[in-house]
Amino acid sequence: ILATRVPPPAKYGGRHTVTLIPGDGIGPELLNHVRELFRFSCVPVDFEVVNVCSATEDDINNAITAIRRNGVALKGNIETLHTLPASHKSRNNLLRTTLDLYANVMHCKSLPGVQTRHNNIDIMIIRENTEGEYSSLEHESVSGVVECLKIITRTNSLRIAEYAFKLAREKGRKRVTAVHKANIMKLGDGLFLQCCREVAAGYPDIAFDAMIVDNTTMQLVSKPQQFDVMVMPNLYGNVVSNVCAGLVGGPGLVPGANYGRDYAVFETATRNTGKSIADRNIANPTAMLLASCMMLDHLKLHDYATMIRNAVLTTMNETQVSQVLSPHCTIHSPGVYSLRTPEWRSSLRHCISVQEASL
Amino acid sequence: MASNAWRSMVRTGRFVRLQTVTLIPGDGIGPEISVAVMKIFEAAKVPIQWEERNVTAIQGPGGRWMIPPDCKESMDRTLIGLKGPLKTPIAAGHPSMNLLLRKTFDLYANVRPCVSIEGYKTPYTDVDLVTIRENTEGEYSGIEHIIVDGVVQSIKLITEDASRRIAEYAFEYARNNQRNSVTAVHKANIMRMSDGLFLRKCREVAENFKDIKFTEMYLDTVCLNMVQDPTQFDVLVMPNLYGDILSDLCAGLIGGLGVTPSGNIGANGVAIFESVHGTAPDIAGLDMANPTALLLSAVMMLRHMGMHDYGKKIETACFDTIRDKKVLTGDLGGKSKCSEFTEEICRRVRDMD
Repeated sequence: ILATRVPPPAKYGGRHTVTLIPGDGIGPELLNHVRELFRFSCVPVDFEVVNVCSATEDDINNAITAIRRNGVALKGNIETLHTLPASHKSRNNLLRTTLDLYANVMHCKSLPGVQTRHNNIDIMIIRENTEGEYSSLEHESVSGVVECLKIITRTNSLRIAEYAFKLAREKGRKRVTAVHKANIMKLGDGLFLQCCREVAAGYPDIAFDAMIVDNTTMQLVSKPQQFDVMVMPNLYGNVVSNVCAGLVGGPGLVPGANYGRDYAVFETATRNTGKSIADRNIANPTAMLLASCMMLDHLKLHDYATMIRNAVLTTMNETQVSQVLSPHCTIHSPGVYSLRTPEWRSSLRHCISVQEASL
Repeated sequence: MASNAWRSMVRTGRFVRLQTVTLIPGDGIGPEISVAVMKIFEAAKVPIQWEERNVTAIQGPGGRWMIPPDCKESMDRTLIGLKGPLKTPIAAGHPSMNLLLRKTFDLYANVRPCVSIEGYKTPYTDVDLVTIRENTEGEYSGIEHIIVDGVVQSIKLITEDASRRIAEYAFEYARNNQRNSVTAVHKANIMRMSDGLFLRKCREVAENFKDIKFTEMYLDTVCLNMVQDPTQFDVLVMPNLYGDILSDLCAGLIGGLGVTPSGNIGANGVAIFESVHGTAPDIAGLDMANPTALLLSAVMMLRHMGMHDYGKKIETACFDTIRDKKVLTGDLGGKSKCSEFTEEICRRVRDMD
């Protein structure tokens, strides 16, 4: 969306190549659903699969090179084992910082057909993705005393604020709220807030306000409808995006995107490995499918994106589908119809066929 | 007030040792809700006498800001305090009063039980959890530097001692209050060393409390599950920042800061219980305030002191009043005054005897 110099897409013979990183847990099965659906719908996208699973740096470096080559990736979450020493950094984090994917965008919208405690939620969350508490700079100065550095820079704060306001303007949104804790972290979050204010001054058509993070979470569980667009540093973004995902129906429903200047990586918004539900055919493919639609939009394949998105949303809302109940296997999302993944998939293909026929 | 309590003791013929508690009314609506709590305690004939103290920061020798010496002396003697909301003046030159109290008495654990209140409906029902937050270090160490112009670093400090202390408190609390499990909340996948240390200490302490189930969960997973199904959580223990966010999140689940109690436990046996809402200067002095938060904190205090019966009595009266919905203050959806609400609770307490 926000690129001064767009590198040429990895497109040859009318077909795009996209890096696919299956990851751990439910990642592989979700991405299989995506591949199957793309094949069924004849989407002109080829996937270059890169597995990341070893303890060395080679795998992740291969993945990064592949993304540099193709420009776009679709990924599952890579697990970080605590048992390994602290020098083994989170692979997901490494990927984001190396490729400078500075903006994590998540659109939380109440979906029709999903029962939740709150309705009419429509929040865009823009989270700074490279610095803040996730700088991975830690040291043990004295035995038993660990210091962890949280870095906030003017450049990155201005960049993410600029991104947030540009996106708000593009999508016709009215208000941007900065989430911070500047009453305690006066210099760090104070700098972030100041940068947001500076950028806000250049967008007089968009209202800007700020809210402290603990009050924000309290407001989110009582009145989430008051929020429009939210921008925040890394850790608060983690908390707020998970709260919002829970509010609209769970981790299986919300897609997320990581944008940088040159690259874009798409995944589920809450980045769960889902080890406990892996390989049982109950993982909800909605989030990953919607993420793949976001990817298709990014590749300017809007027709395919709309078709698949409509099929997904229709399937969730369709009353016939709710009749096919299976009490033993439920899709792992409270509030969505109890349904085995294979039946859900066949219903989805039916919707796509109907749309294709009408084109 | 003390003489009435003495007279009632003489009448019953039982000698009950009168415990002294330091009361800090606070600012704004603080004084009126403190009066409400004192009235209810009197109606319940709780053997407590109050010592009122003021906390306005004064500058001691050497220019260091501190709390008034008579307040410190009182707290050191009584070891139990009940505090109303304090105003933090901006640009007054001194740190917040809450911070001063925390530093003076080394209040290392902040405990917030969040229980759904029957009668005050929120989208979440059956919430019954406790958040225990490390209150002295972590992200709130206050150590920040400007490295170069435009680059700021904030330091998050995690120490072995503080982590062990809070973990021990959490498990002791779980055992003393018949809770089944303790969950450590962390982000050790990203902050490998710091949260890793916190987690290690929790695991070590868990070894000594085999009767209590110990689990660990990532902060984002906790947030995600909390808003979908808060009933799965019991006792949560965590470092400072996560505790701040999660405790306010849980307060939001049950209805906000106006109905949430809170307690701060310090080293050396000191405990200060407080209401965590603001001073509400717009309704101060108008008899419109809701004393529930301070009252429930006072009930927590009674339980801490071992006076479980009195605590249960007052808590039941308070919940019954709210459930009845006939006499409620403005923020709970009613139209009654603070004094009427207080009187209703007093009436119920007296009827229970």
